[in-house]
Amino acid sequence: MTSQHQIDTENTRAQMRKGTLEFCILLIISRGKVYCSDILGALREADLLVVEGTVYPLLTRLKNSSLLSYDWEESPSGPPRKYYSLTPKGKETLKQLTLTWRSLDKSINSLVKKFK
Amino acid sequence: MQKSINITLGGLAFSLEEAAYQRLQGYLDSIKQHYVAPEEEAEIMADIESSIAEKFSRQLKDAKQIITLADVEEVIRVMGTVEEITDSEEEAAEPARTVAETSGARRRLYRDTDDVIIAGVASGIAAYFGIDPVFVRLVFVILTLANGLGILAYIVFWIAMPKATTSTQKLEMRGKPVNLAEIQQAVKEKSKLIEAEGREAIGQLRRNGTLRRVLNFPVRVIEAIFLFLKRSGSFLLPVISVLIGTVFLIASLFGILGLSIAAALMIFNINSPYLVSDLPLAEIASQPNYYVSVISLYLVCALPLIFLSALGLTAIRRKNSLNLVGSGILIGVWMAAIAVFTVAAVNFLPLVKTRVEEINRQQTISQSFGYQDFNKLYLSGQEDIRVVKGDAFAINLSGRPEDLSRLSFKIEDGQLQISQRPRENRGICVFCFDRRISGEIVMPRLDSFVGVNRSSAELQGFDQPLYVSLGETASARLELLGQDLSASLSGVGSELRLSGSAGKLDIQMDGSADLSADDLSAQSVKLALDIFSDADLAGSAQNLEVSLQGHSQFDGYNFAADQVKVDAGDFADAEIWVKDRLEAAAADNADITYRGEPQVILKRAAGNSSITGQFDETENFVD
Repeated sequence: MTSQHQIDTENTRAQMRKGTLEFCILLIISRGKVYCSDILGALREADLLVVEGTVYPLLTRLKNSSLLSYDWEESPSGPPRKYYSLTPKGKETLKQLTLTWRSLDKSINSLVKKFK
Repeated sequence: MQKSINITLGGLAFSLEEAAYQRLQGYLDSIKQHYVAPEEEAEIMADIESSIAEKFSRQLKDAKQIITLADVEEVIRVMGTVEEITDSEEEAAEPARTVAETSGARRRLYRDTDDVIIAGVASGIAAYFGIDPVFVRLVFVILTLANGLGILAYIVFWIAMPKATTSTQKLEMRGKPVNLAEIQQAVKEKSKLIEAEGREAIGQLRRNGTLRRVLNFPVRVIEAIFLFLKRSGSFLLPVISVLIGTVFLIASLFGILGLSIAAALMIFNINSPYLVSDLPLAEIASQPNYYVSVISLYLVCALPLIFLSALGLTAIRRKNSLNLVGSGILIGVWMAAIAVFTVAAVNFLPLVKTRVEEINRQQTISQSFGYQDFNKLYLSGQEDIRVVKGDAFAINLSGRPEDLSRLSFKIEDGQLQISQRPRENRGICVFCFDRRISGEIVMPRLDSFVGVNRSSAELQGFDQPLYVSLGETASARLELLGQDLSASLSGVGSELRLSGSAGKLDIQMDGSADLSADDLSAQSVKLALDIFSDADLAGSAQNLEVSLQGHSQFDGYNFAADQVKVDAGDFADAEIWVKDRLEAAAADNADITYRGEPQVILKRAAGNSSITGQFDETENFVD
């Protein structure tokens, strides 16, 4: 028990990133119908992605809690693709999360500033 | 030969090598096993499979038919292992690929709302440059003292800079810190460039190893310095900040003390007999707004000093000693004081002004003095005297009566001595305007001139051999008419200006004396300079002999001499224009440069000194 209490910085950072991943995905999808690899691309661009595999379970979970829905659409090459969009509930959740993030950001920043 | 296996993945068909198939199968199975609820499992698997299919079809684009094991490994690397995908709680992320290192490469100016005195402009700028806000604030304060420029600049910045509210903006505000890795990168690129250029230039030289080492040496040094600065920065910065802060604090406290004493004198003791002034102080003090203006003037001067001392305190404590309310009140009171002073001073400033003008204009008188039979002159005190040749003796001086009355005259051994006694005041002199006495002395013959103590003289028309001696802050202009001159300039700030033609010149200078000549022609010139003295000559001479010591300096690039003998030592510096023959000796960090093309050059340089021709390609240093 005691040895596990050692703080693994790498793990903490990964946790922080992971905790915000859902919020980020909702943000990306909020701009309209989004194809899965576009989500991945946006996350990669923002450097928030560790491995792509983490995103799929998350999308499924979000869909199951009816924050997301998807439509199948024809693709120019290959089989049809899933396009994700926010449900009204998802939009509401995103609004709440945005507010939470703002206040979190503010408080953490002030703490960082104060105790740096 | 290898067996290939056909599979369908996400609605697309692929051919896989057997090993690749095994690996993929194992991978998908391990993910599948992790999910208990069947409908969740099916959906996630479908998503993952179609994503893998997409990647495979991308890999197959360039005329490749078969998916290899390497392809599968690549896809798994991008997708993540089963632990990475499924285990959100006991996460073990890949340490190699982490976020944040590359974030915030862009840097923008924002106002820093977390560190505010007025509107966060200074702290925003400081964040942009990555320095301590105290320094930026100091610059603003100093600029404010310069005609209020700082206030204007602050307002402009305030309008132009947006507030940093989101964390992205805050990141952008700070930008990417200048880290060592970047400096090293830049330095390395630069060294590569240098190396390439060097190689091109010395193509046939095949000692690249040595060459690279030589060329890289300065780069290494810079690298080492950066490294040192980086390491010691965290230690040095507080020390520097405390030092600067202490200086500011002490200086501004002394300023406040001095101002307060002056203000107290002007308020409480204005009628004291020990306060002596050329201004009618009592009259001014009886003006209705006198006390209001003194107090407002005191505030106008003292408040910036209080602000400065607070900044100094901030620098010492490394913590903000100012807040929005405090500085707001300070600035408000300061502006109010300016307004009050402007209004109050309107009343009596004209009075002071006319009074000063009166002192300047009205009170000078001219007076003649009947001293005769002297051929030497000694001047001391605040006088501007023109000395000219004439048949009859005449002395005409003008100035304020009280200044003239302090003059004393004495003839001793053919020397007329004019000096000025100090004021006979007891007490402190405020607003005392010492006026100089001006005038003319006519005499038939001048053999010797001595000037001391802020006297200033212009000597014209004399043609006998002359001796000139100047002491502290005395100055003289001398027009030469072919005679010999020997001169001694001693004392801080003595100054002699020459013009005309001369036979032999022999001048000795020390103690920061100053000699100059615009258009001088002489047969021979002999100069001895010492202790920070400075000679600047233009014109010509047949013979020039200069000896320099003690940081003295000779500027003779426009003084053409046929034969030159120069001897410089002890950090002296000589510039010479020589035509025929140069004999130069330099020692102990002295520098001699010459122009012209002398036929004979004799050089002797020792002790880190140099003797250089203006167009010489090489300098000859001799240790």
